[in-house]
Amino acid sequence: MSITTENNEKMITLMSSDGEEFVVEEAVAAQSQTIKHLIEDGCSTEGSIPLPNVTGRVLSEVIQYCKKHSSSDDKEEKELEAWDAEFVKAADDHVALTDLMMAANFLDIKGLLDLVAQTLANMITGKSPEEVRRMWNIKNDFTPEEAEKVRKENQWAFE
Amino acid sequence: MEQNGLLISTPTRKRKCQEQYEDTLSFSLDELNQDLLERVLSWLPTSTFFRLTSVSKRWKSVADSASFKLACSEIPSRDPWFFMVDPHLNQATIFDSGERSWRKLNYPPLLLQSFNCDSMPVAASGGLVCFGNESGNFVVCNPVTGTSRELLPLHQEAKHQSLHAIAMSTCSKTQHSYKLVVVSGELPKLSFKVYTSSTGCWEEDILLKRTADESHEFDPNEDDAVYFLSKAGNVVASDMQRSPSKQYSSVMTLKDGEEIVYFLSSSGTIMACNLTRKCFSEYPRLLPVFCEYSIDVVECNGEMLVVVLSEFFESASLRVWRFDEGNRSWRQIAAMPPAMSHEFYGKKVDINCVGSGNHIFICLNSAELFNYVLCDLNTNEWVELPNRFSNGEADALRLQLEELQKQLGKKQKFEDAVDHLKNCIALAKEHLDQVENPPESSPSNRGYLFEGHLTVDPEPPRPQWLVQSNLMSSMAAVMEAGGSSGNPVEMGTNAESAATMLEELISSLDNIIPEMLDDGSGLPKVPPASKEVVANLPVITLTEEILAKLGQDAECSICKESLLVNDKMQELPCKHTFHPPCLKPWLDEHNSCPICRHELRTDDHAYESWKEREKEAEEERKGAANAVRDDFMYI
Repeated sequence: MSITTENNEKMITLMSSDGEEFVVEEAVAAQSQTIKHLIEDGCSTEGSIPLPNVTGRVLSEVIQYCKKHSSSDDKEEKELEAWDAEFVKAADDHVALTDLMMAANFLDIKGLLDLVAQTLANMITGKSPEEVRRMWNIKNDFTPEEAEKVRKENQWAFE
Repeated sequence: MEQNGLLISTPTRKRKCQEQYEDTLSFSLDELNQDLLERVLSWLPTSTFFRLTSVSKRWKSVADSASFKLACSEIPSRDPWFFMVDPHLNQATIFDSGERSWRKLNYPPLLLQSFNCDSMPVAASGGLVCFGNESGNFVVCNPVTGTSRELLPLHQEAKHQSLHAIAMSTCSKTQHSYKLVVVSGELPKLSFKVYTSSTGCWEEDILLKRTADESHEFDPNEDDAVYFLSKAGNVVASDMQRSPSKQYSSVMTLKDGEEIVYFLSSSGTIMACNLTRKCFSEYPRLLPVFCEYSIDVVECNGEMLVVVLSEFFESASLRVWRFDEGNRSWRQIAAMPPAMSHEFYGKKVDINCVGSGNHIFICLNSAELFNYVLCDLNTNEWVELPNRFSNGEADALRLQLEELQKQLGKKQKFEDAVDHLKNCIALAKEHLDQVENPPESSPSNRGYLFEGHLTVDPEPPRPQWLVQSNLMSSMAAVMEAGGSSGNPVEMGTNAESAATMLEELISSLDNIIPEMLDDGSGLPKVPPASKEVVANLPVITLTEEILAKLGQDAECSICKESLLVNDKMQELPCKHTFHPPCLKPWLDEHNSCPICRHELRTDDHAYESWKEREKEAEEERKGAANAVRDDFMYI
């Protein structure tokens, strides 16, 4: 696992829950507050950092995001936004967004967490409750009376 | 997408089963823990969120969760909602700028009770709207949930003082409390009182001192400086008096840790009350005298802006101004495209505005029209919003207004541009008359409009995330002025003297704005148009096609007759057309178009060379600041 970069950046090895290893620059890994703290605590010196909650598939998406965001500065905000939109669209094809969100939460990457949350919200926006239940496998646990009551309370939102 | 850019192998990616993907997703939101679900839902537009509380019990429970509220407060920006109440004060409507749609909200039940039924929205912030009634009681509501709380009433003596401003703000850090500021008193003795939700009571009255640099006393009849819009779009001072303000409105801003409440005084100036320094000052008058206009203050990005709809020379102009503290002058920052604002000419249109971020929501209404326009200050984009109602309710509102219009008496028709000033004086008088005899039927035209981001907060004492402000319509102001003075005789005297003064001052106007009066006696007397030029003006015969271009209500602006096919019209170089017999007497004495003042050549060499010099001087005066000017509002 000897990979060097042009500027001899310190490399960090991350290990996913399914044993896959990823070698990334420290600056990339430090996009995750969780990993940053682990590095600060000296965990990275003894081989790879295990990430027991994140699968390799999800982690590779997360790393993509972190690489982009560690190499862009604030000036390119617009471009970065567009990249984010493309990224999350592609990620949706590869992994469950909920998994990505949980990973972002665990790794404490606020930007990614917000991005995925917003994307999920956008998928829900404009859907009827019935559509949302079907689309997201959610069980309707209201009794008909309760459902009617809730609906009535928020009647204005339906009109 | 550089998926191969990873330094180590990219794991195999299997696409999810396609047919499953069509209908349902392969993962469930229920997998998310409560915290993450709340995060997702906090990004939803408000209407969607409330609609989706019927998805499941878990989703419904989110609305009451404190961490959800926290997550919501972290959402950087939301599309604002604009809140309005109808004239009967029993229905609330919002414009959801996120969904671009109008929605009717349930009216807060507390406000439908008899002792509160005359409450009107007076201020708003953080998703809460404060309603006030005539007896000085305030009720704070969350219009989305309908929950409301009655505030402790103001002290007895405070109730009897005339109220100038009511503003509300939410603590931006915690958003868990709000405060209400009331500015009252008789100029120049103003004071304010603050209600804070955390303590639940009104604090002591605090006197506001006038800032030292202004030494003159307040006097309703004083020759206050008045500011005109010059040809170049600059504001020019004069010493003219104008009619009482058509509107009353207030906003609160927080700048460099200083809280400032701005309101429109009864004489039409902007007053700034600095609550932190406990002082107030009066801003220079904005504009334009003699023209009918409607004005309102808004707050955008923490800044006070003024929106003015004014009429001049057969067109209307809607502009947004910012006050430049350094130069103590007004700067125009946006203007509605003339083609759009022209529609509002001559229709006694009243504007009600609220600001939110870079947007200003403008409600333009009169007997004839109801328009809602959203202005983006960043891009100077002006978008007319879809109609509020698809059913007959708009008509009902219109009827209300029409009734009101009748009571206001007939509007005088402008005979031609020469008499414009005199007519303006007549109008000023008319306004004063309205103050004198306020119409009996009170609740007709209350164009209250609020703006907010959105709120999902069930309890008013813990407001969430909105900034709102309000404004009031002219009628309310006029009625209030009439009501609070309670002395029609005195008002009448003021009305008479103010009007007389206007007439007296008309001559001095010539010195200030020579372009305005072609036969002015101050600067070089403007000679009539060259006989040769007049003789060579083209005469066109109106065809269906030309009429269609001119629009349905095309008329000769001099005789006010509607134009008909085959009418012979004389066309000036500025493309304005008139009946030749109407135009001739005018051009015998003047050298310019009665509508736009486009000047024709004269036979007077001295004048022509003076004009040349003026033109050059004018060019020099114009700076980059005038880049936004248009061709309409000239004085």
